[in-house]
Amino acid sequence: MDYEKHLKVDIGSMVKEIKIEQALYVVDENKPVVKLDNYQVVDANDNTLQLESLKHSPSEYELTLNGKKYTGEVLSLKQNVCTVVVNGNTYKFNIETEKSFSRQKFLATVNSQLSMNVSAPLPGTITSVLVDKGQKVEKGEPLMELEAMKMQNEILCPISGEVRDIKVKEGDSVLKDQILIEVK
Amino acid sequence: MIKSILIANRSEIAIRISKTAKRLGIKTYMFLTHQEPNALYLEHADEVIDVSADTFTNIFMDVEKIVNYASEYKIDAVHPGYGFLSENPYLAKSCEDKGITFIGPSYLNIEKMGNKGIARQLAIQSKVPVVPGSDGIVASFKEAKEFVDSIGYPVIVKAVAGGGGKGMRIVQKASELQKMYNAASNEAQTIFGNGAVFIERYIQKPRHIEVQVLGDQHGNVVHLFDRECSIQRKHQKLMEEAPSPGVSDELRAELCKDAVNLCHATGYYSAGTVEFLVDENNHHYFMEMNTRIQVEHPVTEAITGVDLVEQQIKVANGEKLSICQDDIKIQGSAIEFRVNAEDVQAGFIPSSGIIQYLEAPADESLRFDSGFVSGKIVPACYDSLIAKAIVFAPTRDEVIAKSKKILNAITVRGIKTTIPFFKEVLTTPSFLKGHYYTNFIEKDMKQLYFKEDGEYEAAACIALEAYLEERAKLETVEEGQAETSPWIMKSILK
Amino acid sequence: MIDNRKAYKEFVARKEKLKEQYSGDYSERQHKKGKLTARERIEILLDEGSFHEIDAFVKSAGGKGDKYGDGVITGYGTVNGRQVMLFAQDFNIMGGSLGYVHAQKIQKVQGMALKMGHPIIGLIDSGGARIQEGVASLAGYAGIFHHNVKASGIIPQISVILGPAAGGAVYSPALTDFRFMVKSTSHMFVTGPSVVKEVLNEDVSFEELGGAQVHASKSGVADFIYNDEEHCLLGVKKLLSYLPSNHLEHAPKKKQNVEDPSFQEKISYILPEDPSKPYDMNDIVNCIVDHGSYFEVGENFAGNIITGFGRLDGATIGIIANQPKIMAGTLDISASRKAARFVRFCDAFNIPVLVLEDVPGFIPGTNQEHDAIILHGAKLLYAFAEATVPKITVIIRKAYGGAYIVMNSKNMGGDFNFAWPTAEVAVMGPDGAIKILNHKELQAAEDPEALKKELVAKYKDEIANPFIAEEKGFIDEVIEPEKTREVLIGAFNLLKHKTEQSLPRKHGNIPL
Repeated sequence: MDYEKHLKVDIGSMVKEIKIEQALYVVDENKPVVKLDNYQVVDANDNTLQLESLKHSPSEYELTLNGKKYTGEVLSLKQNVCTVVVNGNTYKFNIETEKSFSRQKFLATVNSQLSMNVSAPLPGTITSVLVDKGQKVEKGEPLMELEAMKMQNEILCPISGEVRDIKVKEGDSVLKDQILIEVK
Repeated sequence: MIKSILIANRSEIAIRISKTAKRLGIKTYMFLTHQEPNALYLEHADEVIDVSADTFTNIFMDVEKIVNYASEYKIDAVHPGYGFLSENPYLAKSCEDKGITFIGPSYLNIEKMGNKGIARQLAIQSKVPVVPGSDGIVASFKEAKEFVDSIGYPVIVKAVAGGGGKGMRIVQKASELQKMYNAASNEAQTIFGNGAVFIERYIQKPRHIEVQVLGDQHGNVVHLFDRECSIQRKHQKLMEEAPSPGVSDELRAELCKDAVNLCHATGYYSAGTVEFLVDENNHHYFMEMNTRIQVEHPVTEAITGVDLVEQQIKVANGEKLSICQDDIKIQGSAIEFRVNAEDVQAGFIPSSGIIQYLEAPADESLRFDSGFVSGKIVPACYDSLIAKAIVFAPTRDEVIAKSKKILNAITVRGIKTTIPFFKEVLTTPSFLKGHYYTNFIEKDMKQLYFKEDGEYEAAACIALEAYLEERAKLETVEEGQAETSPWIMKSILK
Repeated sequence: MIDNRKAYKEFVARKEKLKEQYSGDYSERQHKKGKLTARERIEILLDEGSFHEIDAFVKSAGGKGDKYGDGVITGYGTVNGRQVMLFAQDFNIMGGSLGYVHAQKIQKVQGMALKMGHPIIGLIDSGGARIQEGVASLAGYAGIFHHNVKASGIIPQISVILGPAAGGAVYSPALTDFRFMVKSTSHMFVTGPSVVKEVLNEDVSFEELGGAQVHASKSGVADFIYNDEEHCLLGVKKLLSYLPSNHLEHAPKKKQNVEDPSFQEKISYILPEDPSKPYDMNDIVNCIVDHGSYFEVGENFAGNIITGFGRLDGATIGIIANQPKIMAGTLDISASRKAARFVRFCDAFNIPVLVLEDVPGFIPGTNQEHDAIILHGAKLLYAFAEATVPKITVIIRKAYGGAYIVMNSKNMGGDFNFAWPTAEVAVMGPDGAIKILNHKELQAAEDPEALKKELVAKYKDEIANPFIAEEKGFIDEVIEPEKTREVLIGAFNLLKHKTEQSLPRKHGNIPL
C-alpha cells in the first residue's frame, strides 16, 4: 500500500485535500523520531520507512514497518501529544510542525522560570516526606516515599532547584496525578 | 474425610485450590469481600460467604472470623493458600481447637520454622549445613559487634520473625554496623511486632535454590526436587524454574537429602519448601523453611506430575502418602513467569485499574493460572500478582523457545504487566546458559524490559497516523446547512 | 491583470506597495521571537484561499506614517466552510498598538459580524494603546468593548491571545466568550511587571504575572492553553465546530457519530467498588459521548468541576460534571464561577446541557465564606434555573444537600433527572447526619464507634439512595449505567425543540 496514497485518499477521503505543506516531526523530548516530509516518512537517520497501516478500531492500529508487523494502541491524543503502547511498552510523542519544532527548541533554552509540579505516578499513601520547604534539591533526588500495593516507591525530583511548596504530609492518601510538591 | 473446604484466600490460588477440590468431589466455600465484590475467584466457589458488609477489615487476615465462619457453616477444613495467614500458627491452632482440619503443617511446626532463629537451630541439629552465624538472637549492638568481629564482614542482620526481604540489612563494613543493626531491628519491630535479630555471614554471589517437600502424618517424607528462584527484585521473586539449571546431580541429591532430613527431624507433614543459598563454590547453606504451599509450586507439579494441593488434602485427611520417592522423577523442565500488574518502564510501580482485555494462547505447553479475566479490576489493596504463566517441555531449551512464543501471544490491555521484563530475560545470555545468581537483574540484564527492533519508530508512526486522522477531522468541510428551529425562534424573538 | 491604462497602473502599484510592506524581514521579526506573523496565523485558521481582507489600505489617524493597515488586518473568510469575521493584530506594524483607526477597523468587522450573524474571532498581539494618540486610542478601546457587549450572547466571540495584551487591552478578551492562550507567547495583565515593581516593589516576571499557565490554572481567565500557535489555531477551529454561528441557529450536526466500542465494557467498572474512593469523571464522560468528541473547556482551572463540549449522536451538548478526583468533587467559588459562565454560554447559544453529578457538598471554611461562596454558589444556581435549553442531570454517586439542589435538580427546572443505582441522595452525608440525628444514642452508647458504624450503614441503606427520590418523583428514573448513552440520546431528541417563556423584563439580577 502506497503511504502517499493512504494519506491522500484514506485519511484524505474525509477532506478535499489534506494540508501537509510543511514537514511534520514526531518528537520525543525534543528529539525527532520520525519525520513526514512530502508524503514520505523517514527515521532519525533519514532512512525512508516503508509503511502500511491498518486500523482495527478507533484506538488500535496494526502497522507494517519495513516488512515487520507491529500492533499498537493509542492511549490518548491530546492537542499534539500522543501516547502509544506497543508490545506492552508505553511511548509518548509530540507531533510538531517545522515551525513549532524549532520554537520548542528555542523555548527549551529560554524557559525555566516557572515552578514545576511533581505529581503522584500512582495512587497510594505517603509514608515519608524527605525534604523541607525551601530546601535545595538535585535532579534525581528522592523527595518522598509513597506506598502502594504493599510496595514502597520513591518519588524523585525531576529538576535541580528549590522546594517551593509541599502539598501533602506523611500519612496522606493520594490519587494518581495528584500534585505532591512544587519545585523551581 | 474432608468433604468441604473454606478457602481463606483470593485470586489465582483460590481458583487453583478449588479446581483440585472439585476434582476430588469436595465442596468449596470462598469469601465475597467489600474490596473485590466482582472478583473472578468467586465464580469458582460452590458457595460464597458474603462478608462485604464489613468495609473495614481484611477477612483474609482475621483468624477469629475465618474460624467462626468455618464453624458456623459446618465446614470440614480450611485451606489458607499462600501469604495472608498461611504461616500464622494461631490460625492453625484455632482450627484445631474448634475441630476444623487445617490443611497445612502442625501449628507447632509453623511456629518453630517461622522463627528463623529456631529454624536455624533445628537445621544445625539435623546436620544440615547453615550459614555461619550467631547462635540465636543477638540482643544488643554490643553483642552484635563482638560476634561480627569474630566472623568478619560482610554480614547480614536478619529479623527472626522476618520474611519477604523485610527486617534485613546487609553490612559491608564495621562503620555501618550500628546503623544497620538498628534499622533492621526497628523495621522488624514495626512490621512483625518482634525486633529480635540474629546475624549471619553474607554470601556474596548466592543462588537461591529451594526444595519442595511433602510429608504425611505417619512420618513419611518425600522430596519433589528443586526450584531455582534467583531472579528476584528487592527480594521478590519474578521468575522460577524447575529443575535448577545450574545445579549438578550431586548437589541436587545433597540438597534434597538435607531437606528430607530436616522434615524427619521436625516431624514435618503437609507441603513445604526448604530454602537454601548456594555459593560460588557450590556449598549450600540452609536459609529458611516455608511451611505452606508456595506461589511457584506449579513448576514442580509440571516436572513431576504430582498435584501438590491434592496431596495436601490427603495428608490432612490423615492418609498415608500415596506416592513414594521412587515414583517421583524429573520429567522435563518448566519455567514460571509471574505476570504482575506493574509498569516496568516506570520502575515496576504497581499498575492498578481495569483489565480491559486479557487473553493467553491455548498451548499445550502452557499452564495459565489467572486470577483475572477481561473486564475485572485489579484492586490496589492487595499484591500485584495477576496470573502465573507456567511453560513446560522436555528440555530447558524447548521451554525457552516456547516461552518466547507464548509471551508474545499473551495480550493484555488496560494495565501494564511484567511481560516485557520477561521477554528481556529470555534474551539475556547468562539466563540462557543457566548460570545466574541473585544479582541477575542488576548485573546481567542489558535493560529492564524488552524492546523489539523498530518498535520505537513503529510507535512514532502510529502516533503520526492518529494525529493525522485527528487533524483531518478538524479540517473537514461540513456539508449541509445549519439547523434552525422555528419553535425556538418564536420564543426568542417574541 | 495587465492593462496599461493609468487607473489600472496606479491600482497595481498600490498593491505592490502593500505586498512590500509584508515582505523583507517582516516574517523574520516575529519568528525570531518564536511567534507567527498575523498573515501566517490567518492562513492556518481559515480555509485555504478563503480570506478576504478589507480596509487593507487604511492609514493611521492624522495620516501619519507610510504604513498601511494601522497595525491590524481585518476581513472575513471561512472556517471549515462556515463564514467568520476576524481581526488579527499585527505586532510588526507599530507594535500592533491600538490607534483610533485601528480600533475603527475592528469595530467595523464587529458590526458586520453582528449584522450578519457570523462568529467573530480576534487574534490579539498588541503592545497596547498608542500613547501618541492619547484619548483617541482609549476611545477606540471603548468602542470595541461596546461592540463586544452588544454582540454578547448573539454571536460567538472568540479571543486568541498570541502576544501581549496589557492594560485596557485585556478587557475585550474578557468580554468575549472564550479565550485561548499559548505558553510563553501570550501575556495578559492589567498592570505590567514594571509598574508592579515601581508601586509595590515586587519583582515578578511576565510569565509569572500573566503568562498562559497562570491564567489557565490560577485565575481561570484562559479557557484553553496550548504549547504552540499552530495547534492553538487548530483548537479554535475545533471549538467552532461545536458552536452555532449565532444564537438563532443550532450547532451543526456531525454525520459521523461513532460510539466508543469499549464503552459497554468500561462504564460499569469506572466507579470504584468502595464508594469513598475517587475516580476520574472524565472516563465516564468519554464513555457517554460520541467517540473522541469530548472537548474540555477550562481544563486546568477549578479541576473539581469539569466543563466542556461533547456530541451525542452528532449533536453538540455542553457537559458540566463534578470531578471526584480533585477535592472530592466539592463545589467552591472557582468551580461555581467556571460552571456558571459555561452554563450561561450554552443557554445563550441553544446548546443543551448535561450534568453528571457526584458532589458531596460545598467546601467549608472561613476562606470560602469570607470570599462569598454564598454569592458565587448562587451564581451557578441562577444560571441553571434561568437556562431554557434542554437540561438533563444524571446523578452518578453523591448528591448531598445544597450542592444537590444547585446541580440542576428537578425542582430547579431540570427537564430529566436520572440516577445510577450507586447514587446517594440526601440532605447530608451519613457521617454528619448520624452525628446530628442520633446524637443522644451515640452519647449514651457503650461503644459509640461500633454503634456509629452500624447507624452509618443503616443510613446508607435506607436514606442515602436514589430510590426514595425516585419514589417521590424527584428523580425521573434510576437507570443502568450501560443504558446511559441510549437514554440520553433519546431524551435529548425529545427535548430538541424545547422552549420556555419568561416574563418580559430588562434583565434579571444574577449575583455577580
